[in-house]
Amino acid sequence: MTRVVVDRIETQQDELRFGDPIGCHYHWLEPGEVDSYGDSVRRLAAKVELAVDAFERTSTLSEDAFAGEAADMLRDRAGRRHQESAAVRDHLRGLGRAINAYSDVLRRHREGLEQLRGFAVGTGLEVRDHRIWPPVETLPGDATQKQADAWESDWKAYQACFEARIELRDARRAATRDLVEALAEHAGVHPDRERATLVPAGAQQVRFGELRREAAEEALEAVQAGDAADAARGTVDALRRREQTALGRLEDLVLAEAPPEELQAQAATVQSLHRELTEARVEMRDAEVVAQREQAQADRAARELQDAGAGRPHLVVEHAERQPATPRPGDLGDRLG
Amino acid sequence: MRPIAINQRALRAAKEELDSAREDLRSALGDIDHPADDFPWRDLLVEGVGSLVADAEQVAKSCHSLAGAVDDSIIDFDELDRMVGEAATLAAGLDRVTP
Repeated sequence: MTRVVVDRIETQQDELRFGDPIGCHYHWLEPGEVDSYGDSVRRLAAKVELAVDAFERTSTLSEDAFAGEAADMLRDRAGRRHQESAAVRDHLRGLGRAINAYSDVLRRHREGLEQLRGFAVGTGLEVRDHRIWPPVETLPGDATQKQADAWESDWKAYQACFEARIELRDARRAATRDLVEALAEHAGVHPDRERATLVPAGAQQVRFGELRREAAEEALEAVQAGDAADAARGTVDALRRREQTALGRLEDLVLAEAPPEELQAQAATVQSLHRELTEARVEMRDAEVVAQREQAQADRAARELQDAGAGRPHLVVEHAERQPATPRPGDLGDRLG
Repeated sequence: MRPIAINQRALRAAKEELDSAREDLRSALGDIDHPADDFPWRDLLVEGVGSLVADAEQVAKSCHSLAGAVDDSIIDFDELDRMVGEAATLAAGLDRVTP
């Protein structure tokens, strides 16, 4: 199986930072074509259905029509093929539907980007090369009040665009989880990041002592990851409060017609706090994902330890390979007597 | 051993259904066109669909081999009649032989 480490596009999109130009152009495969791909997978499922029916017909040939040992072998063989092909049909249908649904996710994302672009143009931000560009970082010292107001309003518009863009990305990612789950369920393929969490549970021949040590280690890791997630949430809250305070101060300065240097310095503070906050949010989300994963591993390790203690069979989480059985050379069962 | 009863028509119909399903399936397999352009999770998606397409190809092969097995079970009664006739002639000839 080809290993897919982490999706390249998802990694690239993590690099968007406040102050960067914001991409507002949909440049992936047209959602309609993804939809057609899903349709072709479902059409294949419909054709596999014909084979399912044909296998069933052979497997249910009556004794009146065909009897004897050869007939029994033929019926058994057709019965096995019927079950295998029905599973393939169900998996194709399930994945086809998930691809159709994913095309809607991409369509909504494209529409969101179009709206974002429209908003940016409407607020007077510079939109060039399919990107929304940030306003100038500093104002000249002799800028008028009107210029300072316009500059502040531009930054607020840019901030709204930035946040909308992050929300669009996050919404798309959340909706993509269904596709990734369908791929794991129906086709047995996993992104490596997810798969890595499953591999330890698939290890067999584990001794009781090892299970106990593993369970203890996993529990410790889960507690540490939980603490890290709490700390990351605390950082985000603190930064959010500081940003609010700094924004309030900036507003007060504008209202009090403070000198441009002071406005500029305060705006820089707000901007730097916002950057920190965006980074802290990303770190918090990562820490939460790690904490959830560690907790799941700890739960699983505890269950395995409990099962081993109770003498129950060890459950293997890894999906079994669903390769249809290929006829063995020399297997007379496949040659109808 | 139980007596063998063979309804040729039922067997032929089963074989034809298997052959026809295989043809339709092979045609649909040719229609799967993996997208070349990029989008998030494209590689994983193509890998997943590819593995199911391989399973569907295996189903088509199974249709073919099972149709062959059914075909082997269909007795050509004309041929059987001819063989029985020849055997009867031979037996009649043997009766006339004086030891």
